[in-house]
Amino acid sequence: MNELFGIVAEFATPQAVRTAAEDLRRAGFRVFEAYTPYPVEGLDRIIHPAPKPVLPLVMFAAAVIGAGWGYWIQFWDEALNYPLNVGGRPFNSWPAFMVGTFEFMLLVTVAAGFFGMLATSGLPRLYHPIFEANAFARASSDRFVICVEAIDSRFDAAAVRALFKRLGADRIEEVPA
Amino acid sequence: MKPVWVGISAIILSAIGIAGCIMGALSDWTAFAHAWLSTYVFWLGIPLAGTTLVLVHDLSGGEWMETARPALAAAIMTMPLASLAGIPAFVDLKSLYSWTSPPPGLPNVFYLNPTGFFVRFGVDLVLWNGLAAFALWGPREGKEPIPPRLSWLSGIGLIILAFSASFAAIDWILSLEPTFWSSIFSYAQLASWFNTGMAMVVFTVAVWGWPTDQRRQHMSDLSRILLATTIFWAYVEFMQILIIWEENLKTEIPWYLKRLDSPWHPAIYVSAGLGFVVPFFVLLWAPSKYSRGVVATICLLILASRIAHTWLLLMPEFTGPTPFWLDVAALFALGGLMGLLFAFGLRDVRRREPTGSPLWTPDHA
Repeated sequence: MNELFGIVAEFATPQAVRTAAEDLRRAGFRVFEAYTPYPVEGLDRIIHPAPKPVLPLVMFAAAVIGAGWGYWIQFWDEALNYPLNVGGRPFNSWPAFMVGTFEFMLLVTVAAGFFGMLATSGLPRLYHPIFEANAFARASSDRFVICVEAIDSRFDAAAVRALFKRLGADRIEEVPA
Repeated sequence: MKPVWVGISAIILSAIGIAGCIMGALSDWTAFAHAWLSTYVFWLGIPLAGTTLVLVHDLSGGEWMETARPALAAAIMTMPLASLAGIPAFVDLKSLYSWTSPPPGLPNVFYLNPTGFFVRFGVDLVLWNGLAAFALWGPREGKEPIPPRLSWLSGIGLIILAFSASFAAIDWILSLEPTFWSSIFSYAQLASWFNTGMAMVVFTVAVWGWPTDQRRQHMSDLSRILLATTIFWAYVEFMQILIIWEENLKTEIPWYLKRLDSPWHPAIYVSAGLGFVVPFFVLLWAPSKYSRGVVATICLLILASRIAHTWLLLMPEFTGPTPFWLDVAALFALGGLMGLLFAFGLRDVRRREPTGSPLWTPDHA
């Protein structure tokens, strides 16, 4: 038998896919993902109950670094490298540096957020085994698809098929890895 | 704490404060006028913010109104007291404002004169109480804003409120220094007023108990609004400093120097630290917006920062320093009455609430 990526089930309504996700979670499955044409209310919290706070922390760290970096550039330039007396104000003129510091903090934070988002979602990625599923073709128009992946510790092809059947899936198929 | 104890402590605080004010007023009317103007300017933020948020919600909508409505209604109900409370301070304008006997050559006497001042005060009273009545008794229910066919009234009301409160800020605070002018000052004061009232409302929401998790979500939404407006306040306040600092003009710099050199210098750190830095970093972290204890503490810090801010704006302008106990007494005198009215407002609104489980019960309070 071929190596499996997982088992896919296709449902006709958002309620059905939500019920399926709840049942999977109750049955002890952890590694499964839903593919729906539009965001289904509450589905993300069923599949990922506790979002990982990695990205906000990365962005906050980037904000601190960016602010320090932005201030340093101005401090180095105005106070250390090329001190210029402007109207008798101190070389290290923090009120004037604040705007630049803020802008640089934004730049670094947004960049960290953008690239961090790509990294945590595993992008860019040109191929995914789920593309092989026939059911997946309509997941972007009018069907709700859920896939239990074979790496789940409780994965058992026959049991998952039986569970999907009981939940009233319109179509059940295996996805090769 | 049961509402009745809130009421009793408010009465006691107010009585002590009023006794202090009477003593202060008898010995030195000018000192009393200064203290009373500060307490008036501080407490006015509560009904102004309540009215503003209800009118904004008419235009924006939002689920959070379901939880905020009773607290906002109680805040708005303090409008008659809070707006009329300025009268004792304005009885003798000469004790507050130097422009009442203008130096020759002051160019803006066409605006800064007692007649104009009282006319604008009267117009503000009428407009604000009218808008408060509209915000309180307009056809709204729970989380639902006013019906769309009436929402233009809320839009116009907000514009009127912004303009009239700006003029009030200029008349009462900025005109203490008749030669100083900052066009962004009104924005900073409006934001400060809004933060005062918003902190009061969110504090009330946080110390309530709730039957559902949904209320917690609403509290976090309200905390988000509070976070945004503290950022806005810090932004306009900093812009004013930055522009004046960069211009370095003889007419503007002294306004800040006067505050830096006064005994009120530490109030700068209280105002900026508790009014922006601490709330910003605490509320930035998502889970803290869902914790009742954290949100209530932050709201109290913001209220403390607004008191310090009001004193910082007003007190350094007065040459004869007011005794500090009189400042505090004035704060309590009006604050106790405001708190009493606010607590009554909460109970009154609760009684009129048609359905749903009671929010204010002895076990929750």
